[in-house]
Amino acid sequence: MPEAPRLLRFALRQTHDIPAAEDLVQETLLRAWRSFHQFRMGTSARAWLYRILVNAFHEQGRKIRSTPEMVPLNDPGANSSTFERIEMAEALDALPVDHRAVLLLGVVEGFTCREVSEILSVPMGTVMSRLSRAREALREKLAPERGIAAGARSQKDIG
Amino acid sequence: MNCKDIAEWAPLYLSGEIDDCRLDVFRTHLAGCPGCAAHIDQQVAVDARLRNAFASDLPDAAALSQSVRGRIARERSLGWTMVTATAAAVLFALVLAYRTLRPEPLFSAVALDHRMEVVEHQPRRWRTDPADIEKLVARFELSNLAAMTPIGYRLERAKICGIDGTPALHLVYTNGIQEFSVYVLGRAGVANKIVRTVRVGQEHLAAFQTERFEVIAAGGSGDECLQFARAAASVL
Repeated sequence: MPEAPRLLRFALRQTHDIPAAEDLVQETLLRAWRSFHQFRMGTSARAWLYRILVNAFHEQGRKIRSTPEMVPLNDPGANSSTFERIEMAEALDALPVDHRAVLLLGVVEGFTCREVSEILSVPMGTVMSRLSRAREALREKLAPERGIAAGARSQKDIG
Repeated sequence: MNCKDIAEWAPLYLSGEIDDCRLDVFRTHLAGCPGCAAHIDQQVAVDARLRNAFASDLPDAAALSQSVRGRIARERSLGWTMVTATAAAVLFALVLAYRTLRPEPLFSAVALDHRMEVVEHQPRRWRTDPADIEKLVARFELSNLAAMTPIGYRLERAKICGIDGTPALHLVYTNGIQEFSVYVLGRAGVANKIVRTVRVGQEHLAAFQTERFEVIAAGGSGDECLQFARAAASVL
């Protein structure tokens, strides 16, 4: 089940609760196994898995816990990337859950706007406006000295 | 296209979904508008930072996957226990209905695997070198791999994977236009070399069993799957 770690990462960021996220991913994989005959040819199976996960998440209506990520000060494994991830996680967690979802799906998981629209069952225009607002909100929350500046364009070829 | 349009279309530009016509106009505007260009640069930087922060943050899902496999196995087992407890006539009707309405779990797993790994090309560690493929094949004690390849097709890559909790040799063939999967799973049981076709959703499969192997072909039309299954059945 090669997609399981990515599904779990997304579920963790949405639920903030390890047992809840694991339950959600288990339920997703079981539903996919039971209902693959309903999968529509010509669509993305990966996006289909995420749509099942999002539906299960909404059906369960779990209460989102706000447990911050913590790293002990003397943790020898903690490095700048660990703290970068924590800072990013805190900034993401401060966003509304719908905005967080479009950023995670569109940027971290690499889905197109059309696929995000199908996964979340919302119109393309809604995905686009949520993405713009979420990017702007995230930019404002992140410390400016950590690299949100011109010059990072080379990180992704957008041409 | 004005600055408001640029802001509106920025998500499609960043995801690479903007059409060529709008892309030219978009770039022309950015070239002449430092404000919009800076705004897009900032969004690109936010994306890059977000991706980098979580790129290596993949949680370990091995225990979870194992648990799902266990639940699938239990559901299959429970299904059979219930069925065997039913009277013969009802059993016959149920099995017929089950076969018609819902594909066997193994076929669902194969159809999903083929779709994700071959049709959608999710990144996996494939073996493409013939010598490496031979080593994989040897682990399944298969011989005469060449004879399993129908005329007009060639073996392109292979790997070992898990299908429904069972190790499987996944062979991918191509005819230059389309790719096809042949899964060989180890088993011990009575041979049923009659090749049968199955449809899972819109995915066509063809399968047969020997005393030692279960072979399932996937991809293309039912006829094409049959071709692969028959070629394998003639050898195994």
